[in-house]
Amino acid sequence: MKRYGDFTAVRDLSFAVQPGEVLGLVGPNGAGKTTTLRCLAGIIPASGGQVSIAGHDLAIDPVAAKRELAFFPDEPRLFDYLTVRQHLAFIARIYGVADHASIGEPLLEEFEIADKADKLPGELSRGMKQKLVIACGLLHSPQVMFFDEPLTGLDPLGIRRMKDSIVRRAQAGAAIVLSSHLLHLLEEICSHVLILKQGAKIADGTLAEVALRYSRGEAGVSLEEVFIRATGEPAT
Amino acid sequence: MLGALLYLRVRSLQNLLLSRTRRLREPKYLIGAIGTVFYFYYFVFRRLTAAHNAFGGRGGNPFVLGGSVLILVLSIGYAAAAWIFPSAKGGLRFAPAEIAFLFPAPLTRRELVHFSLAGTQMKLLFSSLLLALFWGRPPFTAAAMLQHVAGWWILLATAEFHRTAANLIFARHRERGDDLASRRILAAGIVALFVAAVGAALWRAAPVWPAPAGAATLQVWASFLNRLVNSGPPSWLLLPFRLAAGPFLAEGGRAFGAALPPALLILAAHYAWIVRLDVSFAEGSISLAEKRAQRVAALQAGASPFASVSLRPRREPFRLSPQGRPEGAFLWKNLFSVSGAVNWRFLFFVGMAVLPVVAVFSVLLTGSARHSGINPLGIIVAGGSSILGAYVLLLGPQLARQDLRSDLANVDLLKTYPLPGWQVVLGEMLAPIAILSGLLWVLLLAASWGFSASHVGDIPGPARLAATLGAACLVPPVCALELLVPNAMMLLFPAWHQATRSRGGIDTIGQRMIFTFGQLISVVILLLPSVLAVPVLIFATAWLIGPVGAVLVATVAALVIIGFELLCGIWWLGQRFERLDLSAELRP
Repeated sequence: MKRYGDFTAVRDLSFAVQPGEVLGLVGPNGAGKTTTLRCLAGIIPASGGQVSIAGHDLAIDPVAAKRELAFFPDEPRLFDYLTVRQHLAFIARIYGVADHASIGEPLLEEFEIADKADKLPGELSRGMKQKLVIACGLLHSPQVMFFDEPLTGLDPLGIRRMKDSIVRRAQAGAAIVLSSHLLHLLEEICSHVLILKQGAKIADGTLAEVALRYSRGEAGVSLEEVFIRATGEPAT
Repeated sequence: MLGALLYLRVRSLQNLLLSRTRRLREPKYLIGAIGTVFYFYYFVFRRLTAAHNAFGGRGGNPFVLGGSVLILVLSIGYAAAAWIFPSAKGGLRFAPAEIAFLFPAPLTRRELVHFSLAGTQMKLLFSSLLLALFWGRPPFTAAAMLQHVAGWWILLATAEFHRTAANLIFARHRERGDDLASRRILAAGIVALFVAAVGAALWRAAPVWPAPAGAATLQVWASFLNRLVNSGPPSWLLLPFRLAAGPFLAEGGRAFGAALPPALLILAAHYAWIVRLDVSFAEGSISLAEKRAQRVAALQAGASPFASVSLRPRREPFRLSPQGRPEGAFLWKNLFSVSGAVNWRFLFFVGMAVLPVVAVFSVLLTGSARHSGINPLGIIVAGGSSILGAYVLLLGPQLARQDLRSDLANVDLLKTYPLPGWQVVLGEMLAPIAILSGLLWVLLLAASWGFSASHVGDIPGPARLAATLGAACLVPPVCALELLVPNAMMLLFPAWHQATRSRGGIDTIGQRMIFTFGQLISVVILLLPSVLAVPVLIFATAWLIGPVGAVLVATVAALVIIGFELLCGIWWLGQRFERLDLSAELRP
C-alpha cells in the first residue's frame, strides 16, 4: 500500500513473480503503476505491506534485496559529467562487479552504444540514454528487474533488441515486471499480466487466464480489448 | 494580447501561492514559513515603522553615498559586459510553454516582442519591490518606498533592455556571418577608452585625496567619491548612467519628479530600439529557453549556479578500481564536476567578492604595520590568507555542492543501490570535503608562513608548527561538519531546497536566508564543544607537557569530539535518506 496524505495511490496489491516469468503491469494513466514499481525497487517506502525480493525482505534487509534487483525508469537519469564507459565503471564499484569490462563492453555492443563509450550523456539521444541506463542496470546480472516503460524513445531496431533482451533474461531465470502502455509488446513477451485501476488490482494471472475472464465467450481476444473491458468496469 | 499575458501571470501566481499554502499543512514547512514571516517582520518591515537612522539621515550615511557611486560603477560594468560578453543565443526571453503556444500562434513579431518585454517587467517589478524592502534607504515612508521601488525598476529595466538590445545586435551579426570576435574586441576597446577617459577626468578633477586613516575613513571617502562623479567632466561622461539611475538616487519627491522624465525617456528609447531591431529571435529564444530549462534542472538538482553545461568529457580525477569501498566511487564521480564549477565566471564572481575586502584590509594593515615595525608582506599574506580562509569556511559549503545536493535529481537512482543510507551520504560528501580541505590547507600554510614572516606575537617555532599541524588535522572534519548541515537541510526540506534552487529571482531570498542562518547557527552549536575544549585543554596541560604537547592533546580531543558528532550526523542522515520519499515531498 502507498499513501500520500489522504490520497491512496496503491492499495491492497499482492502478487508474486517467479523466476523466468515476465509480468506485464498495465493500467490507465494514474493507476499507480510507476508508484508500485518504485515501491518494489525500494526507491520510495511503502506505507504498508511487505515486499520480498529474491527472498530478502526489502524493509528489513534493503541492501541484500537491492543487490538482486535492477530498476529501469521511464525517464533515463544519468550523471552529467560521466561518460558512457565511466557510468559502467561507477556502477561496477557500487555493486562490486570485478570484471565489469568483460560484462560491460558486450552490453554496450548489445545495445549499440559501444561507439558512444566516451561520450557524455548530453551528447546522447534519449534512446541512447535509455540504452545506457539499461546497460548499467544489467551490469550486476540482477535476478529481479523492474522496467517502467522501457521502450520509450527507442528506435524500431532498439525495440526489437530490447524485447529479445528481456525474453532472454527471463529464460535465464530472471523475474521481470514490466510496465507499459504498449499492449501488443506485452502480449509478445509477457507470461503474466496484472491490471491496475485507481491503485487497485482488478485482474491478474497468465495472459490466457485474464483474457478468458474478459472474453465473454469470444476466442482470440486481444490484450487491448481485455484492457478496455477490464478498465471500463468500476474498480473493486 | 495584454489580457492574455495578464491572465497567464495572475493565474500562475495564484496557483503557485495555492500550492505553497497547501504545503504548510506539514509542520516542518509551517515552522519554516513562520520563520520567514518573523525574518521579514524583524529585519524589513519593522524598519518601516522606525523613522530614525543611525547616521542621522541620508546626507551622512557612507553606505548610501558609497552606494550611489557603486550603482554607477555596476551600471557601467553591466553595460560593458553586455557588449563584451553577449549571449551566444541572442534571443528574447520566453518560457518553454510560451514558445510552444505563442510561436505557432497567429501573432506578429512585434506582438511577441511586446509579450516578452512586458513579461520581463512583471518579474523586474517584483524584484524591485524586494530590493527596495531589503536595501531601501531612509526615510521609510510609503511615498519614499514607492520612489525606491520605481527607482529600482527603472534601473533594472533599462539594464535589461540594454542587454537584450546588445544580444539582438550580435544575433544580427551572427545571421550575417560577421566576425563576432573582432566586434567584441572593438566593444572591449571602446569600454577601455571610456573607463580611461572617466579615470583621467576623475584624476584631474580630484583636488586633494583624503587621508586613508581614522574612524571616519569610509564616510570621508564615500562623500569624496560622490562629489567627484557628480561634478565637472566626470559628470558629463557619466551622464547617461546618472540619468538612468536618477530616480533611484533622488532625495525627496521634488528631486524624484525631476529625475523621472529623463530616466523614462532613456527607458522608452531602449524599448523602441528593441522593437525596431529587425532580428530573427525565434531560434535564439528557443535555445535560451532550453539553456534556461537545463540550468533550472541543474539548479533543482543542486548544482552550483556557476557550473557550466559542457559537452566535453573531463579528465578522470583518479583511476577508479572496480573493487574497494563504494564511497570511493562517489568521490570519483563527484570530482568530475569540479572542473565544470570552477570556470572563469566562477572565478570572476569570487574575485569580485573577495578581492575588494582583501585590498581594503591590505591597505589598512600596511598602514598599521609601517607604524609598528612589522613586516608588511608577511602581515598581508597572513591577513589575506586568514580572510580567504574565513570566506572558504563561511561560503565554501554553499558553493562546493558536489554532494547530495547536486544529486537530488538522481535520488531515485541512488536509492536503488545496495548500500546503507549512511554510506551514500558519506560517499556523496567526500568530494566537497576534499575540495574545501585542499583549499584551506593551502591558505593555512600561507597564513602560517605570513605570521612567521611578520614576527607578530612571540610564538616559538615548534609551537607554531604544532598549531599549524593541529589546525590542518582539524580542517577535514570541520569541513565535513559544515557540509553535514546543508545536506541535512536538503534531506529534511527537499521541496524547499528545490524551490530555492529553481527560481532565479530574489523572491526566494527569505528562504535562502533561513537556510544560511540555520546553517551558521547549527555549525556554531556543533563546533562549540570543541571550541571550548581546545583552549581549556591547552591551558590545563601546557604547564605540564609544554605548548607543543598541549596543542597536540587539544587537537586529538577536538578530533574525538568532532568525529563523534560526524558519526552521529552521518548515521542519522543515512536513516533520513533511506526514509526519504521524494515523490511525497515534492507533491504540490
